[in-house]
Amino acid sequence: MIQANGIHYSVGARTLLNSVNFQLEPGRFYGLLGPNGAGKSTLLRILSGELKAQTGTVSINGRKLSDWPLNELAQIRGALPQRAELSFEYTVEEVIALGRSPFGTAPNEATKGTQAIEASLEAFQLQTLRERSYLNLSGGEQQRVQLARVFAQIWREADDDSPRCLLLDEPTTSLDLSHQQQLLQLLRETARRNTTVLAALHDPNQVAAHADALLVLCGGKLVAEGDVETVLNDTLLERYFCVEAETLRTAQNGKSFSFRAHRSPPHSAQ
Amino acid sequence: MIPKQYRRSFVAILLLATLACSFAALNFGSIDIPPGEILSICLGSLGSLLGLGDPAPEKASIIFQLRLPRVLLALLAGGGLALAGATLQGLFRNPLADPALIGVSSGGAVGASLVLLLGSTLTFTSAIWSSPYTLMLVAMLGSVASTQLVYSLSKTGGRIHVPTMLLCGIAVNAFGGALVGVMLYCADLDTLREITFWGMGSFSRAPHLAVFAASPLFLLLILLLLRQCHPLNVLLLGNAEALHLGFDPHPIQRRLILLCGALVGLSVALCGSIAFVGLVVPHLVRLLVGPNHRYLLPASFFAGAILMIIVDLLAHNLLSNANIPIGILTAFIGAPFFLYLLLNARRKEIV
Repeated sequence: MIQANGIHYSVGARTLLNSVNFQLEPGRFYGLLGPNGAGKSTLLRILSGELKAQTGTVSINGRKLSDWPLNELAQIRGALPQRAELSFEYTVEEVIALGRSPFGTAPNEATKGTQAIEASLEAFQLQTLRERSYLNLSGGEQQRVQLARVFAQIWREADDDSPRCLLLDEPTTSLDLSHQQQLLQLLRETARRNTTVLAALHDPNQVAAHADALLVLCGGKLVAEGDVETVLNDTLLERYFCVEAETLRTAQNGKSFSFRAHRSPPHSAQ
Repeated sequence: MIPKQYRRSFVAILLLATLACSFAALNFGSIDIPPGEILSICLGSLGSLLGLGDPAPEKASIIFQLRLPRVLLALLAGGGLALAGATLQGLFRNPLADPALIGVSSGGAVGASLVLLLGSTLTFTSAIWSSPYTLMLVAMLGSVASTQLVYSLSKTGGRIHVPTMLLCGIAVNAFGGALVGVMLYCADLDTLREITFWGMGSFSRAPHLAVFAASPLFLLLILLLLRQCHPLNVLLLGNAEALHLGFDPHPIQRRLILLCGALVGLSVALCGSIAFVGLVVPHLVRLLVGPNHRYLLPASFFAGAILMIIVDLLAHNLLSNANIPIGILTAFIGAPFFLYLLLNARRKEIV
């Protein structure tokens, strides 16, 4: 469970987040939507503890972020920042193994670690790349390795259903179509195992097809939140994303949208 | 690259090779002492118990006052510099960091020169200023300060800007050089000579008692740095990633700066500036064992120790009756190697 209460964050005179409140339940996959510069990354960085909000508190599983020992938090919360920097020739497997660092090197953890690494390699189809140097991979492959590292971090055995949290900043970046679909499915399945998943995404169709609920940020404010069925519609997209949108009903009574850019200059949502 | 399952054995082999090299190096010198006798000298009273025979006292003093301190210093300082280089490269997240290039040694040199100068001029406090411990302490402080300075200057928003790091190193080196220059200008002829020769780097100028006194401190710093392998691995992913994995980057980075600075400062105090060991050795070792610090750090230490013991032997025996300063030898090998790395890095778009 992730709770945000009155989050306010500003840099100089610029307010990036303005009194943001929400509560995210475990078992659900939340999409975080918003135009560029809406504050999605800032919000994710505050939720993961990388930035401190000027006012307001973040709680993970009912415990304030500042009260969590870093190592314990790392055992139940995975986070993927937007840009990765790595300039040494680690192999794919070594990068993923670093995801298990919060768990130490006790023998039983080492066995679990091996299982976690294998499961992550498989989930992101990296088995054939395991001995390759991370630096020689394409952008999409590197993104899959970083995702696999975060999944190895929050991996647990089949009988363990303690609550977990997963925060992902634009995880679909540079992934091809099929890997995007697999990732979104994986996020949904992960959420079903008592995990709160929050992922910043750009495509409302992906949110409509895979997520349970969504948060919409615009200009640093939380402008909409709720279930995909009730909240996500063409009016919302037209209002905050400066597009002309049309709802298309799909066969399974799901939603999808077609949209094109406004011909008139986009108006500000504020 | 050595397969994963053999990396641990490789480190063990390097350890044995370091011991073997050290012992072999004790055999070189103008006076011939047979290996058996050296062994019995090193083992002390234990040797006579094992029936190795009692060594002649003058030979024992050659070993204890001349050869052993030199080999010990080459081992600890050479290995220490390579270890500090490997750690700095992890801290700065790029393979071009070297204690001498980025100004860490410079800070130590300023501190050490200051102590040498004050020791020669301030007669009333000379007992403090000419003590080797003062020299070590001030050099360590100087190195820690310059490491911190270059690190804070080249970091913007949690990321290291590599060109800025190299340029800051140039600036710190130039400034340190100027400070040492001022001190040389103020110094009398003897001190001038001492600072100049000390600055070129050598394992045989430090008094043997100072070497023995510094050894436990060397060992302590080396062991503490070796224990940082896991945080260093995680830190390579980036500050945010390290935090998400439960490792708060800032205290780790402060600890690394302190340990590296102190280790480099200590070696600068005892054997002057020896450039490029910290660059060349970790690079070659990384080609063999990969970037995992668990193997990289100890392997760099042992490889640096072996290299410096061998280079020191060359420095003493290449020309008869002459000691070539170590710093000059390493710079001859290291500078072209650095250029090669730089051009290579530019191709890979790291810089």
